[in-house]
Amino acid sequence: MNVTLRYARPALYADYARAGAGVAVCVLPLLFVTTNAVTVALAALGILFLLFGVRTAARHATEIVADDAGIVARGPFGGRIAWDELSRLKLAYYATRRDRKGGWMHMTLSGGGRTLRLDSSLDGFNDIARVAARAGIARNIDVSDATRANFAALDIAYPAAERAAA
Amino acid sequence: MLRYVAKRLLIMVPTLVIISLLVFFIITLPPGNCVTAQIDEILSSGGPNAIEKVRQLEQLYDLDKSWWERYAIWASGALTWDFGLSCQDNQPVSQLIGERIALTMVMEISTIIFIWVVSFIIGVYAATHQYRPGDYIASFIGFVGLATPNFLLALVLLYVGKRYFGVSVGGLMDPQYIDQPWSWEKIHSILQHLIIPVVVIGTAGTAGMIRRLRANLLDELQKQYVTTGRAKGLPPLKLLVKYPLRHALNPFVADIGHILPEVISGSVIVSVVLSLPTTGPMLLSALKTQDTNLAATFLLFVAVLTVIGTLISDLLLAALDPRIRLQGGTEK
Repeated sequence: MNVTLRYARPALYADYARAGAGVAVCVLPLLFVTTNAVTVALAALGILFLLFGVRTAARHATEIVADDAGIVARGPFGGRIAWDELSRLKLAYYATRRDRKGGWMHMTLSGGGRTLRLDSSLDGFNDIARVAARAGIARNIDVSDATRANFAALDIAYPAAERAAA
Repeated sequence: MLRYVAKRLLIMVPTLVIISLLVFFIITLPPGNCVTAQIDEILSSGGPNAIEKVRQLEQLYDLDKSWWERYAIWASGALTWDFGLSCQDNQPVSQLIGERIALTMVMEISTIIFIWVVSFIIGVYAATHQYRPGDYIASFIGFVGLATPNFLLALVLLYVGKRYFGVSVGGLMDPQYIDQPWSWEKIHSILQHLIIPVVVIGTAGTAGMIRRLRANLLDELQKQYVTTGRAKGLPPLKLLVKYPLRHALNPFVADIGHILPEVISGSVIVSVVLSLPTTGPMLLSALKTQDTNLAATFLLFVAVLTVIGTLISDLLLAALDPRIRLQGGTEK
């Protein structure tokens, strides 16, 4: 088993556009006016968009590889977690609409003093979630009810810890 | 999450531009404004320099320009905290609104805290004591609060305060502190005077929130997982706090978005009745006299508060609510 994933290009380009537009809207006015309360707020927002751009670039350069031994994030802020060391698994779903649509998933894996965070904008996120769930079940890691239900939404069965132990 | 924040912040920019454009346009729709009233007065009184004065006024307030040119000047000035001149006071808008906005924010934030604290306590009590005297009393207070107009409550409290306690509850500080620099005594005086407006403005919001929290908590308490927890012998407090209360609290967070503008617009008449030096009376007067710069600036602040409040509530909801995806469709 060897799964290699990258963040989807169209989503990354859209994020670059957002970061660029945000920096332009916030920073350009600063070139023409003197410092005041409004420009301080704009500068803070400009830094936020800049950080967003940096994070997008980091994601662009990141490659996630999962194999029988563990999961590796190759690139800036990367890291490796061996499945044997996996101690915590969480799959959260963030939706800001009441009908719970249009949201995104966020998977957190911890172990061996490292934490990897992956989100559903990864091309093939379901595959990596399946691999992580398999490792979690094998290690008998108990997960929250919300995580279990979110795995179920991806058609991945994650039994309760007692059953996994059995 | 960062992507969501970036998306929302980007959407805020055109939203605020469109709102400010609409506000500015609507305020300038009726013919005339407070400058034209001044011009008419100068022309009717005559005098050797009347024409020259009129020309100066027109240039000062950009009346020789179209409404969208005036909008562009006002909007670009907003970036430098310069909102132009108020024609009713002949002073820069930024000077006029400075302290009033600070006092308004203090009053509105106190009101929101009051609404949350009171409705949380009463709402939880009413839901956990359904159909008992306490629930009926809380419901009665809730309905009275919903049905009573704020300004009427303000008038009643003004009368009761003066008639039975000999104190004037009007104003937001004792008269000797008006136009004085900030001091601990002035803050103490403001806090004392804050109680009545906060209670008056907060009553309707509290009543609505109590009803919502009670209904949501009752829904949760009747679900099977609560029955199961009870059957397994979970302590009642733990059973209440662990999940039902958490879920029932969502409306509190979701309401931040519209509670801010609601409280601000709801406090306008109360501020007039109680003679509060907040933005309310000034906004009312600016709209009556068609003081475009002043009115548009106030309304822009309300719009900014609305979009920021909505963003905060959405982010808190996303972070606090442990959602479960019900069906396919995660965003890429």
